[in-house]
Amino acid sequence: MKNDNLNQYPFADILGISLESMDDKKIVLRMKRNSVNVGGVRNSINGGILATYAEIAAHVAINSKILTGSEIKRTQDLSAAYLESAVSDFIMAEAHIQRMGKTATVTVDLKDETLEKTFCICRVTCSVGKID
Amino acid sequence: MAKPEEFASTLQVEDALGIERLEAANGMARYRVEALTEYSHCQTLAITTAVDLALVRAASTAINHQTEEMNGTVEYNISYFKTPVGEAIVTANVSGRGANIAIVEVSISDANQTLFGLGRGTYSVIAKKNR
Repeated sequence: MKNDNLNQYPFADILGISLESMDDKKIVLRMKRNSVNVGGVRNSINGGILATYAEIAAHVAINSKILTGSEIKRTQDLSAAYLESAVSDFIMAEAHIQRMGKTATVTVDLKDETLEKTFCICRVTCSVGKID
Repeated sequence: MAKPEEFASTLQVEDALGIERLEAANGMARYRVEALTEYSHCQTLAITTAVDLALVRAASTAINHQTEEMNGTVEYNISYFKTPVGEAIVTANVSGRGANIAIVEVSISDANQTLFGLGRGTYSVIAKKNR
């Protein structure tokens, strides 16, 4: 699925990230395992890349709900808990907005392609403000 | 338990995101991250990856490779409290060691040497099995 919101992110292409689905409740991104994003223990997707992927997913989710004339200023806080090595061919990111305002908070679960196994649970908070 | 050959290289990750290894020794690791001046709200994306790379590298210098093995990041968090100017320097220091974990503190400063981010991570370490 083509998405201009996602296309503004500089590493989305090289990391193999695309938009899977979007509705009122959540946004789902897909990341294909490739030679760039692998680099973790047990030949898994690199943990730092997973955190950056969650950060991108959170931004895309916030941008989908942001008011006209406002923009994300910067990521403020990010936390990641790694539950299992991410070894599947595709890693899905399910992003749920928990709060929208001057501070926006998104929870992101990183899962395998069946959405049954969770590899990583993240929470991302961003500051939002008027476009300069 | 991961065998050494099961650890993939992170060099392609670093090249793709503009991350450069500067040094790593004695429980400390330092990385440089190129500035993303074109994308102001995206400036932290590569830094977020670099924080994990730095904490893993720092932990790797604080284990006994004869008796222990690296087993993966358990969790980490970062707070970015200012907008960085120019490139970022990510410095990770192992601040505590237990039997199975290493605690790593991370600081991030910009080209003006202004501290703009702090983080902390937990890395899992396991005993090597006799082969």
